[in-house]
Amino acid sequence: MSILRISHLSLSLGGQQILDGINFNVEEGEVIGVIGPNGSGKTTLFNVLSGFLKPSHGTIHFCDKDITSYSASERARLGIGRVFQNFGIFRDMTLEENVLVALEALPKERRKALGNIKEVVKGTLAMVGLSQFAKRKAGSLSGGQMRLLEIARTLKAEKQLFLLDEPTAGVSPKMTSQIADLISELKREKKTVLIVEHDLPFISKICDRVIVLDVGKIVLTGKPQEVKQSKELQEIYFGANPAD
Amino acid sequence: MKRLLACTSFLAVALTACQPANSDVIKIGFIGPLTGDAAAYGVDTLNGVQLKVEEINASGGIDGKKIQLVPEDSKCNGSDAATATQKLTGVDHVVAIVGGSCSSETLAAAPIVEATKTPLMSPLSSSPDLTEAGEYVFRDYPSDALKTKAMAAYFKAEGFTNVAVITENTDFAQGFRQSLAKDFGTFVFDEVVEPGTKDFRSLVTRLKSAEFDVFVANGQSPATISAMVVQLREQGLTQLAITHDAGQAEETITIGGDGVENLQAINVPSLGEETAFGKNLVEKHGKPRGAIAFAGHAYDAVGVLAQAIDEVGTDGAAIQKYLNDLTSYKGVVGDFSFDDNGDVVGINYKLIEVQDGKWVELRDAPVQ
Amino acid sequence: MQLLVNALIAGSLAALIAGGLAVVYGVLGVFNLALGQLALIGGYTTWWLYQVLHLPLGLSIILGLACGALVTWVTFEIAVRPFFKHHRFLPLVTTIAWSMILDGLILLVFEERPRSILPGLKHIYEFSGIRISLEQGLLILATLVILLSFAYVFHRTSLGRRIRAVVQHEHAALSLGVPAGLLHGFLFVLSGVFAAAGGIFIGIDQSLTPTLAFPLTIKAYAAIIAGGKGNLWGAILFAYVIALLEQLLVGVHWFGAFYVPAGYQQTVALLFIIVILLIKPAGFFGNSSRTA
Repeated sequence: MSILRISHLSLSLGGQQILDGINFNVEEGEVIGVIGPNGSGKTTLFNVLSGFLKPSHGTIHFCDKDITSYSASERARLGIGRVFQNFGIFRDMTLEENVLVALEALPKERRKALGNIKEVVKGTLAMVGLSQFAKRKAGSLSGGQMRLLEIARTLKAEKQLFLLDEPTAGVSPKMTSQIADLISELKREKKTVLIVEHDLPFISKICDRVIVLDVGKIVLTGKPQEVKQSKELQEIYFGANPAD
Repeated sequence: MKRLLACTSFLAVALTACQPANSDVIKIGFIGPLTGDAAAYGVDTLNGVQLKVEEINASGGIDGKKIQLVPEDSKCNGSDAATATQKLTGVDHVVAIVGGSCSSETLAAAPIVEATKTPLMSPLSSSPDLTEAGEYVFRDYPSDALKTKAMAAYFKAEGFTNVAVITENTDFAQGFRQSLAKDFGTFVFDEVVEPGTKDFRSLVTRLKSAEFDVFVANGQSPATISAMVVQLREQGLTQLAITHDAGQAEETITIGGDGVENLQAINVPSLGEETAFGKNLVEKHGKPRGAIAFAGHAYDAVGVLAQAIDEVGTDGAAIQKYLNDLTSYKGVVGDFSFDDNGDVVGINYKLIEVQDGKWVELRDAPVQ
Repeated sequence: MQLLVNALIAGSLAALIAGGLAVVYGVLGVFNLALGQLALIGGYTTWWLYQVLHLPLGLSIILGLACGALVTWVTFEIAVRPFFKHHRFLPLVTTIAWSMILDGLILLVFEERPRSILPGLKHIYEFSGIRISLEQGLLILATLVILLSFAYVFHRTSLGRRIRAVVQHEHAALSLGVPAGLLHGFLFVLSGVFAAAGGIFIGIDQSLTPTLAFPLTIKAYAAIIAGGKGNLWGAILFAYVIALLEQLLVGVHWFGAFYVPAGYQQTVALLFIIVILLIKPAGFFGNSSRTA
């Protein structure tokens, strides 16, 4: 069963076509990389999926439910989680509090099912090796630590679909591999993951499938190895950004 | 702005010149604060004016013509009063104006009525500055110059030498302050606060260490005056507190409650509800917001203007001359006439005090 | 010392209103210029229930706060919610317009005359030369209780965590399932309740007049700008500091030589903003991000 079905999704903002007829399905447990040059609509696609932007056309189905008109917090409660490129943590709150907010936002019965909430918080921080900073402000963490905290928090908030926006941006190489490990952990737990990323080796290491966006359209999709070697990608992606 | 004003007054004159006066009715304008902190004055004076106008119209009007009243809200400030007066003289072509209440209003209206030769009769303005305001500016309410003389005489008679004054920064209260200083001498405590101030605690705290015999609550409205006196009492200061006509109002007691007990005032004679005029007013317009006397002066203002119009017609200059030559008018506030400056002659001051939550007249407060 | 107590009285009132303002600015990034009117509505309603309908004082206060909350909610729905997402300065204009409408309504309903919830003398107590009325003591205490319980909710409870989460990263909070829109409304209404409490405070301690609204708003703004826009505790602290400065300015015999004329008292707040902004353009506790 496809956990996420996107059909004919379009968005125009200020007369500009940002997304142009996006169609794709995501199967449960898949890890998909979304790549494309800057301005190709990757983050906008995530914002439409999260509910921060309303599409001009098209529908989004999540677990066979039409969620196109759902608000951001309603989608979150259905199980769509988001990890932000600019760090979606609450900087002036402690690490504990950051995790607590996520857990407390769960529907009541699911929160009760967690048992002792303090233990869950401890476990979450331990999982990403941040236990010793529990009482510190989240803003004092390094970029990689923030990202680990954010992903772990989203995982414990029982999200099914993860939208990770450039999880390696602003993160040291050592931490990047830790993040990759954490994403593999998500995969083991049968979570579905969409990753926007510039780091192609990272993508090819952890993704089952890659979607290439350009000017709001899907121009290519396939296994990481196939996509990497395709001519189209060379042209639109590396051609546009020789530095990468 | 000045040019704009000049233009509009030119326009006003032009309109007066080319429009024949409406001969069916005699229009009388009213200005006064119908809204704002000082609304009590405006509402009460307007009620007095309406009462007299209704009576005159009920008995056939003046020479068979009904009086038509044109009221305007001048909000106790000069700019609104100027606009209202422009409108009354320029658009409505009123024969005469009753108002304003606050001295700021009347002072602002004065140059406009001078230019258009429209007699103005203020029922309540008491600023000494109005004495010189112009030939067409009259008042049936005495100048503060006399009131402060009466207050100074009272202080001397009681042996008070140290006087503390808090003044609200308005034309009326500042006029009173300067006039009292001239008649009495220097004050031991003399502070001026912004209009509408209600928190006098820091000043009262300073008063605690000042030596004074009497406190003059020189505000513009019952709200500020009662706030001064109540906060004085709350700090345990028991010296005599005294105010003037702005404070001698029912509202001072509703707000101040037992805090204003024994507050004294020097004022024109009050009119009780038991007087014929008081009964009539309460019956028609309900209890006054401030005092029956406010309505009484307004009632007489219309009365004396109507008598003038009846005698000499609607020409402004003729009315002005008639009022100056008048020997005595028998009004509800007393028998009075006007001096060469348009100031009232014949209204005497009283010493009044709050006793058991009511204003009680104690005795005459002679000017000497 | 008496000056300090005076400042505490005036400051408590300002702190309530500034606190509400700071919360709203911190969370929504919106300036609500109708806050002074909302304070008056709370005060006037309480006056009406207590003095005209003769309900018990406690009940009148609670209903006064409730009415303040209701009108604040209407304010939010009409003047803020439809606009603040488009541009955060739009509500600046819409709330001014709304404040004028409220001014008119206050005049219409409660008339243009001063009203005091508890007229007359209060129960005065004297401690070593400092005089304070029972009512004022209770009001200062009530303000502290309100502010402290808000602090507790804000920093120690699940609701407070959500509020802070929305303030610090609204999108992240949303994608965790925190209903930010609801919290916006809740906080806006809460600020109105704070303001209404301030209005009742004035009605009890002094008297209410319809022209009071704008000066109230201005003073609260002075406090929140000085305290660092959106910094709740900075705003509250500076509400007290400005009140103290006002008292000291006219109450102290400066250099043993002169008193500053009382007419300048009102300008303190505004001068203070200018000085603070010259020294610290972001406000005293301000930083680049809004933190509430």
